[in-house]
Amino acid sequence: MPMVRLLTLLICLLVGAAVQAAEPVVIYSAQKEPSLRPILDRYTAQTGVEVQLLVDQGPVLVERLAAEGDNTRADLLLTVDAGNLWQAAQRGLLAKLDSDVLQARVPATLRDADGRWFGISRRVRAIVYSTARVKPEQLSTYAALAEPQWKGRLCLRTSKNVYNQSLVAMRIARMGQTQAEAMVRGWIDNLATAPLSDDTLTAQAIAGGECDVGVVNMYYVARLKRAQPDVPLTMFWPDQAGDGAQQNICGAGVALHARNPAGAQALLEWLTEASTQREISRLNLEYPVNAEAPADPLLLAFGPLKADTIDLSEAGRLQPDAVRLMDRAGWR
Amino acid sequence: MPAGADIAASLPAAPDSEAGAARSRVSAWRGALRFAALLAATPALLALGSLCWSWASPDPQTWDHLRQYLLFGALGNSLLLMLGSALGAAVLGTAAAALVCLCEFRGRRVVEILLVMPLAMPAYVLAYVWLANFDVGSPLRAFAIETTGSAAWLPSLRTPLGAIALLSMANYAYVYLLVRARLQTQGSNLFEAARSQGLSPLRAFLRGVLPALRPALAAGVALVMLESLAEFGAVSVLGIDTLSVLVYRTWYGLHALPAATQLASLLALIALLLAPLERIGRGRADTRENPARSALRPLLLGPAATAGVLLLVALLVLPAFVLPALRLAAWALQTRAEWPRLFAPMLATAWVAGAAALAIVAGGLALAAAARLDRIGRSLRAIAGLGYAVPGVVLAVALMFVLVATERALAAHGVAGFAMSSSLLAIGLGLLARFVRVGVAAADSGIAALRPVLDEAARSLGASRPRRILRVQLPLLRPALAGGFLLAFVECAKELPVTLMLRPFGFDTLAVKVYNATSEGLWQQAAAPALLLCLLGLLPATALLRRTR
Repeated sequence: MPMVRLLTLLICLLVGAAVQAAEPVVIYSAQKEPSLRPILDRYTAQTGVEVQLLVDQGPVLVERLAAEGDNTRADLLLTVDAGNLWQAAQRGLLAKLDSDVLQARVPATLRDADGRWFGISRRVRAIVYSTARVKPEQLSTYAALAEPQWKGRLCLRTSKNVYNQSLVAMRIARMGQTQAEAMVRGWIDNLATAPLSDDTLTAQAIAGGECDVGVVNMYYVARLKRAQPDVPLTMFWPDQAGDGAQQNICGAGVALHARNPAGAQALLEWLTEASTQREISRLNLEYPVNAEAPADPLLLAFGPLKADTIDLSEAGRLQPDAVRLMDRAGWR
Repeated sequence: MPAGADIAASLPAAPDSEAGAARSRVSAWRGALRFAALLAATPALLALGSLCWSWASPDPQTWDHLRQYLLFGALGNSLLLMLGSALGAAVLGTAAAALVCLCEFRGRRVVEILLVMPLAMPAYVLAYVWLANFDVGSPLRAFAIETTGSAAWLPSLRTPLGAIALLSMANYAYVYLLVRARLQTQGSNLFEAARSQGLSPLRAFLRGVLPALRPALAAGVALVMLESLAEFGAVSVLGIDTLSVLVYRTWYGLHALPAATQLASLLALIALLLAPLERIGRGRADTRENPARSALRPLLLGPAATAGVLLLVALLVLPAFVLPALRLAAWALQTRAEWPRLFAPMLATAWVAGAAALAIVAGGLALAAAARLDRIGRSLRAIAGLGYAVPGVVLAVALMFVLVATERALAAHGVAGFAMSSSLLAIGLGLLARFVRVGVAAADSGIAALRPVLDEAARSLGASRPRRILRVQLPLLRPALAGGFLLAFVECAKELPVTLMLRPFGFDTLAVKVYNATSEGLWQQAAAPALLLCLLGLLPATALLRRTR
């Protein structure tokens, strides 16, 4: 008998026949398993519902969802930026959800107006600076990083990164093409070294004296501080007198052709519950979207934050424009 | 008559058989061979067909943008890296192989194994470890800044030259393994023959041995070139914009998948242009009449020369493997709680890579043999090999589209529930499409070195065709095929995009574990699976070297 079961399992693995369990929820996720699985394990423990993950880059998942059409196995699409959710919604891959619970918990600026996607956690892309060589009074706005005083003192991550693409897209939305491009050109003029391949390296370059300021997602710095409390770095929230610091979301939407839409919606609602939100903030060092949940103390230590409430759809709509702008300005 | 005639089945009917029966046996054999070759080429054909299909959706706006700002710089970088790393790998690999095959010195056996180790280190892990420890943000540079006010005078890997150095270190072992296999059978005799004419050791090597190495060298260099062309992870860590980086940027940033796919087919085109190089690789080896393999290594090194040689080896192997591996080990010690969870991914990696490598070697042999039949066979071999030049993510997505379309067609006919696009079968197809060239290269260089004399001898003794293939030709090919298996195994174990995209739910390999951590900037957590990946690659490498010593 065990042989038969083993054989069946092997055949299932080999040809990928779906094993029917009690209505699992399948997530196509751009959030990597180590950040997501601990949360989902809690869900399974509480509800008995299995959650299966297919992890890949956001654009790959969107293409897959589109290619699979009504034959998809995805119940939920989860990405780490609003741009890819906007793309998926735009291509008609996400279902409109009419959930009072989600509407109450997720602020209007962090979800799609038509209910096709909702934020789960917030990340802020802002200025990181060396506490040894920079005084916070010297900092003010994103645009001010283009000023001559930062010549040879700025570190940036590569423009291939979607967070930077969203950041520039939002700057275009706020400042217009011309001014945004002038600002980006100023940043490039001020670079201390060629753009780096990730935010952690950027933060380490500043800690190591290679440069004095940079632009990163705050959780990378919070993570460094958790591992190394005396690291001479901290975050500065720019544009606090203006529109606020730029935020993005990790968020999700229910697939239009989900086989288990009810299960997907239930999971999405659970993810925005205050207790889950608090846990997400603790584990991943991101801000909750639900105002009732407190942020992790490491984040609170960065000080009060005014985040830009601009419609996050702009990140998706203007992303190609942003990429072209960055190419013109020579941001590698 | 070409060497490896039966594997190629291009022999006329054996004279002692009855003509009609023999002819039908030959055509059955040829038919089977053609079918096997077609089967081996199918995944690549599907993926490349899907790539070509992208030209049906032209995107002049994106292309204008690319041409104006990015294309030529990326093309230049790609060519530079390709040629530079080919040169670096050719010199390092040939020198390394000559050292262990022609010289006898204390520690040679250890050196022989040390030299193959860098093969097991994924290039992007190597790039990151170097970057984090000696480049931007490293304690070394911080110290330089503190003491001298600047670190600009320190060499940086984040330059085309740095990238060439890194890719040469990461890939020279391809050349090393292929050249070493050739040197083992002929090297000593050729070298001594040249020496007996009064040439200095260096000249004897250059004039007497190197010409005979041309096929192996060309095959190895072609692999290194294509590897560099398709490389994404390492070059993006180093911030060098190549064509494969541009493919990602066009897709992920401009949301222009058709244009990205068209760019990727450009890479396949460059690979086609390398065909003349491979023709050299398939040229007939210089097979001398005296086949006796000499176990003696003609150059006995004294203590001073040995010390010098060991120093040079250390200068190569320390940065290419030992130091990064030690760094990974130190990081891995910080994540000890995670270790037990790596057991299942390690097993998964081992058997997926093992099974895929077997398929790659078998497929490569079929393609190499079929290519000796006729033009169709040669075309199949050429096309199947293009998958090696295309960045894995593009190949994977192309194959995914095909599989998903098949799923939908099946579902439309009421056969639902099959998730072909996330299955082990899909991973297998993807790995075969991507790496079958490795098997082809190994089989090709093996067949080129087959000596018709032995086969004729067996035939004159009345051995039948199947018997000659099983008892004479395959055993002679075994070292080459074993080398191909090793290369394919290591490639498949390190591979990421295909495995990531096409795997069943929850099926983690070590490369996936590394990616999970690195893509979030958590390099310390990536250390343990990366180190295991290296060790897993080392096992077959050392086993192979022991066997073929």
